[in-house]
Amino acid sequence: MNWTRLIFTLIILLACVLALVFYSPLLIYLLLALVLAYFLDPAITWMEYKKIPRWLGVLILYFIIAGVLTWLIATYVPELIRQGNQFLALLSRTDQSPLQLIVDLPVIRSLHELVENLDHSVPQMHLLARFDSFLETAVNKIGEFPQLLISNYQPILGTLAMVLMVPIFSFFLLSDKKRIRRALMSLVPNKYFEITLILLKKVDENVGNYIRAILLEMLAVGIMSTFVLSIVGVPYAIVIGAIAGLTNIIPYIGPWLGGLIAVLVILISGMAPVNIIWAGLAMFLVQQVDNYMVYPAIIGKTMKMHPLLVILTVLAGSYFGGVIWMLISVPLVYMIFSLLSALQKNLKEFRII
Amino acid sequence: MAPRFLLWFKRLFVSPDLHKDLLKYSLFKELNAHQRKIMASFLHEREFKAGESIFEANYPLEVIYFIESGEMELTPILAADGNTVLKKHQFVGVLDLFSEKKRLNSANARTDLKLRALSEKDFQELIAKDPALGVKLLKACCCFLSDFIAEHSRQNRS
Repeated sequence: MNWTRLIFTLIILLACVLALVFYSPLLIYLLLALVLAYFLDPAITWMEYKKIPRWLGVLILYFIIAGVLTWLIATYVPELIRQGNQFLALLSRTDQSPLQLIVDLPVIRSLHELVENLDHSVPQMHLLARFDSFLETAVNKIGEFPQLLISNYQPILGTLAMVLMVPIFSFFLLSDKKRIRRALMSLVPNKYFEITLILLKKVDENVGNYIRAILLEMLAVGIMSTFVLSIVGVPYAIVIGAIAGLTNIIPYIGPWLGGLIAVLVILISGMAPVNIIWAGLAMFLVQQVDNYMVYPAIIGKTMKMHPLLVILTVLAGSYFGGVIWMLISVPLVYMIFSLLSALQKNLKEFRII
Repeated sequence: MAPRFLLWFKRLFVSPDLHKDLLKYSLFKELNAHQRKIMASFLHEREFKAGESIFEANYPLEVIYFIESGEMELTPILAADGNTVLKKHQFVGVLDLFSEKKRLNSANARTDLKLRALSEKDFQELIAKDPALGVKLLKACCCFLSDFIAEHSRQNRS
C-alpha cells in the first residue's frame, strides 16, 4: 500500500470537508448563482461564437437585465410607495384606533359581522371577544414590525449584501465556465476520466435544461396570469401575475397560491364577490393551459417522472427543509435517479463493475 | 502610457493567438484564431505514464485524443499508414466516431504521453453551434477518412 498517497488523499478529503463547513453559509447563494448562470449560459455561449468574449457577454446581459428591472421599478414602485404612504397615513390617524381601522377593511368587516352573528347565537363561546383579541394581537404584531426591522438591521443588511453578491458569483461562473470544468476534470484519475466526462455532461444537460425550462414556464404563467387578471379587472394584475409565475415553480401546490392571492386582493379591495369566481376561473384557465400545453412542451421534454412521485417528493421536501427544498427536491431526485442509471450503464460498459 | 493602455484595452477584446499549435493537427489545420480559441477551451489535458492503458476495444466512444507529446500504441492496427504507433500531432477516435460509437481498438501509452482530450458530445456541439467551424471540422474528417481508405486500398492491392 502506498502510504504517502493514502495520507495525501486523506489530507485532501479533510481540506474538502473543512472548506465545505467554512463556506456552508454561502452555499445557498452559490446555488442561486448557479441557477442564474445556467439560465444565462445559452445567450453567453451564443455571443461567444459571435466573437464577443464571455466576460463582456455577461456584462451586456447584466446591463439588459438591469435596464428592464429599472424600467419595472420606475413604472410600478412610485405607485406602490403612494399606496404605502396612504396606508401609513391611515394608520397614523388619531381619530380612530388601529383596531377600528383594520375592522373597517371590507373583508374583515364581513368576517366581523359573521362572528358577531355567531356570538349572538352561541354567547357562551365568547367568539366576538376572542376574534377581537386575535385582531388586537395581529395589529400589535404589525405595529412591532418596524421595530423588528430596526433591531435586526444587521442580519437583514448582511443577507441583502449576500443576495447582491449572487450576480457577482454568477459572473465568475459564467465567464470562467470552461476553465472551472477543465480544472475539475484535471483532478479525475485517467481510469475514470471518460466516465466522469459522461456524467458531468449528463448533470450539465439535465440541470441546465430543467432550470431554463422552469424559468420559461414561470415567465409564461406570469404573462398569462397578468393578461387574464387584467381582463377580469383585478387590481395589481402585474404584481399578482408575477407572484403567480414565481409560486408556480412549486409543483401542484404553487399554482393555487397565485389564485389565492388574487382572491385576497379582490376581498381586500372591496370588489363584488362575483369577481372571485371570474378570477378563480381565469386562474384555472391559466393552469389548464400550463398543464396541457406549456408544461408538456417545455418541461415534459426535460424530465419524465410519475405525478405521484412528484407529489410525494414535494411533500417530503417540505417536511425536510421548507419552501427551498420544495423547489429543489423534484429536480434533485430526478437528477440523482438519472445519474445513477447513467452510472450503472457506463460502469458496465467501461468494465469497472 | 497611452499606447500601453490602448494595447491593454485591445487585449481585453482581442486576445493573442495562444493556440497556433492546434494547426499542427490535420483536423484543425483550417481553423482561424477565434475558432482555435473556442476549440482549445473544450480540450482537456491528460498525462499517461508509459505502459498505462488509455482505452480498450469496445469501450464506449466518449473522447477523441490528440497526441501532444509521446507515443501511443494501438492494437489491432488501425492507423491510416498501417503503423501501430501514433506520434505527436496525430489523433485517435475520429474513425470510431463514425462507426457504432464503440472503440474499435485498444490503446496504451508506449512512452510517457501528453494528450488533449475532446469529448465527443462537445465535438458534436461545436459542429451544431458554429456551422462555419463545423464545415471545416467535417471537411477535415472527410479528408482523414479518404486518406485512410486510400491507404488501406493501396495496402490490400500490394
